[in-house]
Amino acid sequence: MTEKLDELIDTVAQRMTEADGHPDMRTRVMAVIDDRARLVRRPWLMPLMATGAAAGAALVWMLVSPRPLPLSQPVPPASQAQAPAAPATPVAALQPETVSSPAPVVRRMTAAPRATARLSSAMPESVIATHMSEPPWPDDEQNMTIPTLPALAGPAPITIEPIGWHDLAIAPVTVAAIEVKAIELEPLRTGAGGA
Amino acid sequence: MTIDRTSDTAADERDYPAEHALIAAAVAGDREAFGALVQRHERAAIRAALAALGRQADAEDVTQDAFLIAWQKLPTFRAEASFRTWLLTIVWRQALARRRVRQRWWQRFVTADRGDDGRTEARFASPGVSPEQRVVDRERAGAVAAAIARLSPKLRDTLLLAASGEYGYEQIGCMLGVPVGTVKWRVAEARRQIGMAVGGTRDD
Repeated sequence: MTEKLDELIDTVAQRMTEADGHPDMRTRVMAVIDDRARLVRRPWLMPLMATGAAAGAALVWMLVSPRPLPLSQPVPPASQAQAPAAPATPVAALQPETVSSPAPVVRRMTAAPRATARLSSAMPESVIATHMSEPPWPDDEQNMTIPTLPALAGPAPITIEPIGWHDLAIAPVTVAAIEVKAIELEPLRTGAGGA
Repeated sequence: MTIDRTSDTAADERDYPAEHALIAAAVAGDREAFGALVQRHERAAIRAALAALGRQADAEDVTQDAFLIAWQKLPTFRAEASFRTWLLTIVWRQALARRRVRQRWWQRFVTADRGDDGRTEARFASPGVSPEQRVVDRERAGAVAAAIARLSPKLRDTLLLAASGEYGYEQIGCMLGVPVGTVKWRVAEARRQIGMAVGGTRDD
């Protein structure tokens, strides 16, 4: 009885490791090896691939990096510009009264990976597709979270020039009002030539 | 059924000069020689991957990856073990890595089956017996397959590798990184647990 069971176990186990058909692994493996060899024989492809990889990595870093965007305008008065800059503060740590303070001190929210923007017009789909990495996107495109838009604390209006949006021919965005965790933006203007 | 677990090792030793020449040529860059090595060992490699993964598509992908790794690392092959054992070790590591990834991502969505898709049960047919007996045999084979699926991974892997008839106990020990004695114990323990599961016939 035990021998019969052992035989059955062997039979079943053997069939559990039997491949259906013959996959011709030799052809598959040799095809991949030949492809790689062709790549090696074309050394001019290497720098192209390296450049592409570097550009891709840079793009990803640019999109996910929480670093602040450069300010274009307006330039604060000299006396105020020389005032000591406040330390960078995460958006979550901001107090409403701090944000609405009349002191024209511009602070960059270096630690804010996200900012909620309420737009007065719909954002172009190209921008949404580029920056909305976490679908589903909101039905109301005028209230959305922009992962790569840095929050700026300071008096409105402030114009920011979004890094990385140049390729999309998006004009600089003027910040009309700033709330805690929210930025109200003026209508985006699209098209080559910007603002 | 008698499984000769020493035949492959003996065959390896018998073919050693020819295989050694193929390996040397492959190390020198001869892709056709490596292709011959692939052809020689693909069956054993796929069966090892199937033992770990249970799905043929995954097993073929893993086997292909393992052969490509072997092609890249062939210059480092020192012939301390046979090429077959060295290759199977690569296959097994790749298969386990694939299995870990698969479990991590899909364990919430799929049942804990072996991915056998019932093919063992369906393919189990004993020619020359009555239809009634065939049904009984098929049901019993299905029970055995289910019992194998419920084994712990260590016991199941070892049993499937041993029962496949492709590998000797020493090769299995090298693949799993355990002594031969452990391999033998696992096979015996797996058989005991299966026997208990299908009706306690092991203790008859």
